[in-house]
Amino acid sequence: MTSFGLIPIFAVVLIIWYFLRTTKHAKRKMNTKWIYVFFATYVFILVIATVVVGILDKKTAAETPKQIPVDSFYSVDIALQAGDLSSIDSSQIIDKRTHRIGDMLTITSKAFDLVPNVYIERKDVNDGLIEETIFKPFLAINNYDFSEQMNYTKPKWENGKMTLVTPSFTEITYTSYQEAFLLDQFTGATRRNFGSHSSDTRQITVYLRVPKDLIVKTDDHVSVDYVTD
Amino acid sequence: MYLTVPRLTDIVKKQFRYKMNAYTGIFSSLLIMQLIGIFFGVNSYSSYEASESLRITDATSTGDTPVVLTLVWAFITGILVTTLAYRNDAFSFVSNRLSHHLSSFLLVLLASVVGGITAVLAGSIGKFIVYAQNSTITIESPGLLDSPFSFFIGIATSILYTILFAGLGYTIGSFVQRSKLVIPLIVIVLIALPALNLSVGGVFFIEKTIAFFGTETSFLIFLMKVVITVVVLFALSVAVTNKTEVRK
Repeated sequence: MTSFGLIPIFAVVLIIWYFLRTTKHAKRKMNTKWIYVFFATYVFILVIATVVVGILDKKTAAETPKQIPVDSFYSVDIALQAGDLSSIDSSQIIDKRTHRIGDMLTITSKAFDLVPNVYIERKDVNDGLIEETIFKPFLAINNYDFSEQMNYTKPKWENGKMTLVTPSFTEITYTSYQEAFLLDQFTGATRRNFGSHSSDTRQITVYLRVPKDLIVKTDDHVSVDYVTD
Repeated sequence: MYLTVPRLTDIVKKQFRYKMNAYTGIFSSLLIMQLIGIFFGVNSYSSYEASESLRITDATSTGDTPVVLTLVWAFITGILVTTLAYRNDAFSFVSNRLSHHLSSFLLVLLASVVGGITAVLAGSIGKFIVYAQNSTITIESPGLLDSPFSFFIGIATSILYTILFAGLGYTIGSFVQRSKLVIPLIVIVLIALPALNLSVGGVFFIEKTIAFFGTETSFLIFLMKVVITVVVLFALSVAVTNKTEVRK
């Protein structure tokens, strides 16, 4: 696709080069016929480019990030706050784990930036087990879903201690194309301001179902939301 | 009494053909303007840190610049064909003022249609460059195969705006040919008033004019507005140059 896409660019560069060359050498001034030939070639390139771009649009539609409504950013958190895991799409879940636990759980964080959210729901029994469900991170740039490209690290568990870890650095490079503003007048399409950015993001969310009387200790960097009935 | 009485349509046809051959600069300048537009429309890079562990780099390309530069080209072309050098060419044939205007207008009309279509198609090159880059892509506009209706309505819109700008240029050019005193008036209306944000009689003329065309949501009404405006502009051009000297 990459080399194919460069063909019209080379053609355009060639046309510019020819124009500059003919301007430099006045003796070789183009006659009427050649100007029309060049212009027709230019139009032909544009038509081919338009058709090929149309095909590429269709071909790459599956690979490009989907537009998502702003509300979807909060929908998982709202469901978790209500303890309603069943309403969350299973595709949002990264992992489900269980951990043996004594009387106390300590939660610490080595992450100081984009610290994962932690929700704790108390079970009705003291069964000595923590059921951990980890939900995907979220990243929307200009309302496009880039969540799949966010790096994350699952919490580390050791001797009744859960540690939230800083994920590896995420670098996202994306290219966007916006049609001319004037052309959208009758299509009803809306567009963002040129060069403007908006992004909503959060790291993974950890949902813990803990024994009824478990003591939970957290450090200052961790924010825990308790799910209440 | 003459052996042959030339018909207006024949003269216009001949002059139109002549001008198509003589004024090729119109099309070469369109090509150059659009290539510049493509060049400047592609890849306005920007990078920003969303957090310490996240960096986002966004390269935005837009089809705005080829379209805007085509409108500028249309406006200038409209003015150019009314200049003395072009006007004197009309006397290569048996002609009158009306046939000269009609042939020039047809030329401007044809050039505007070509310019309007190619302005939209030129955006494809921008899209190509976006596809050629090895990064995640978001295309914020439907393509030819995704939404043919949107694509063709976009082309029709582009053509109409190009005709409108060319018609405006043609009329201004005609006024300038009538009297050079019109030039400072045009500078005041088109540059000084918007720059100084001045309001004339409580009505900001340019703003109202832009809103008149730009906020229209019905294509048919927009089409009617453009056609009527262009006809009025053309009639004005004919009327205003009716008494200019035949040849200086």
